[in-house]
Amino acid sequence: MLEIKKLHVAYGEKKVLTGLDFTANVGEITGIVGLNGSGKTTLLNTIYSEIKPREGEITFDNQMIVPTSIAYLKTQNFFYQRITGAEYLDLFRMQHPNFNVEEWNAVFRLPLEKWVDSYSTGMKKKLAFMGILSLNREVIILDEPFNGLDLETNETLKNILKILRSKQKTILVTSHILETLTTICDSIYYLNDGIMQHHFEAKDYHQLEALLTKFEYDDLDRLVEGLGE
Amino acid sequence: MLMTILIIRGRQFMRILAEIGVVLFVLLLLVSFPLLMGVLAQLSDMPPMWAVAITLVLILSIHLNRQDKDFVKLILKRPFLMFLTEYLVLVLPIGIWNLYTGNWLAALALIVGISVVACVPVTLRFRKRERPLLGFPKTFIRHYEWVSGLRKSVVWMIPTYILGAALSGFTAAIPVALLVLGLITTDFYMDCEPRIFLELYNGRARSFLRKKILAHLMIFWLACLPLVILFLIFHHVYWYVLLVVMFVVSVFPVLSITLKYASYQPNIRLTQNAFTMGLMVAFLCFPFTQPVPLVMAAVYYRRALKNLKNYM
Repeated sequence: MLEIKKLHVAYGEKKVLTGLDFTANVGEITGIVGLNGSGKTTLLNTIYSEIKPREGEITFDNQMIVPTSIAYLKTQNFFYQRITGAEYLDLFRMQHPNFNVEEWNAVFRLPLEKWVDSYSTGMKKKLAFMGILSLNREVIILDEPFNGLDLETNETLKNILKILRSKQKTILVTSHILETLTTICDSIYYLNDGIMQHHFEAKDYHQLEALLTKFEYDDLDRLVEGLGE
Repeated sequence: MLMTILIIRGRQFMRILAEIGVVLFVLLLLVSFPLLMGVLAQLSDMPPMWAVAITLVLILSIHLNRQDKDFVKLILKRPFLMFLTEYLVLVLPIGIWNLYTGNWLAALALIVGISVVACVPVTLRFRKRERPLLGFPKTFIRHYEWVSGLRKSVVWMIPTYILGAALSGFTAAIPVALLVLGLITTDFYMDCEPRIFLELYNGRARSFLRKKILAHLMIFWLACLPLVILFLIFHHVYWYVLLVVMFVVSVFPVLSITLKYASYQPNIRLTQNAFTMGLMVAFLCFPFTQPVPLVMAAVYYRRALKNLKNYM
């Protein structure tokens, strides 16, 4: 089990996470939703030890978590210029030579002989996903994995995640598209004001939907009309 | 709006200066002064119109390559005013020099030329190749900076190499070629790889840094061995010149690699490091500042070790 207790993270004076508690079970897909800037990516970067927390602890199976147990797909992935997709994956194969690039690419259909610079956003996402998949780690963290993916790959990704769940992986996913989370997650956390404000089990997802679609601005008509002035 | 943009530009410049620190900034001023004097001496030897023409070609190449034209058009009614102001600031020293030396016509030509360049609505966009002409052996892929860097810079590196070899009869040809090649390779270390790439090295920060530096030096000097041999064949009496150049060129990667990992953060481009590297290279050009890069290499090495411990 991945467990976070009383996590405090700040950038200088700006507090981002303020005593956050969180649990993700092995063999489950756990979703995290929140508004832009609510601290989702900060939380994931902290789990991956890229940010040092001020306080709190992050454990996996009751031991302090180490980055080498985590496969982390970031929202924006970095690729060196003039590197082909095949060369990018070869870097991962140095450590995991058994990863079958050809078979996996039959699923994602990437032009691996081409430079990654020429790939679309979705293609880059698929390539980065293949890379972290090859690591075969216990904890899989995916930050906005569905961004830029076509409908078919969306479904493929969901199916892969479901299979990984059955292989007892601990999976964390964030997304702005609620529907993608509600169809695959066993539970979803709502991150707001630096803490996990709500935790929804699958049967309560309708409440989450109501919470996220609550519309608080009645004054939009006036603002839009003001654009012409 | 124009003023706002210029203020933002000024702030950007001040932030870069703030990042390099007060000590380096003072040293930069010390180095800039003789450089400026050298440029002015060259200008005084050159027909004024030639200097204006060279300046205009440089500004035109900047203008044709800048990719922010669409954005500037979006926010400004007369974008050429912003381009004109920026370019005038850039050529100010040359304009003042022309006025100071009484070359009124050259100063006028410069202003007219800059105004015309600022109005050119074209942006160069080359159609990029989508796949490499030549692959690398799989074992070489672990040197991903080299793979990426060689492909980006091959258009400069191969002519430099060939020219160096072809003109090896001249004493300066090979040392200059080695210096240029060395300089080009420092640009290989401006991008920070994902953290996962560091894990692939399976080691500690110290051995990781050592491996990176040694690998660079080995690849570079193996590739440049023919040039070194040619120099020794034709100019063996100047072996000590080669030794000095080899030392200086070997300092470049030590600086660029340690500087990269001193400021390493996963997945970012270290644009400000290009400026710092340029500064270090300038320091190497003058005897009284030559120890600075060596001291800084040691400083960056310590910082790199400390920083990498957060990621390895």
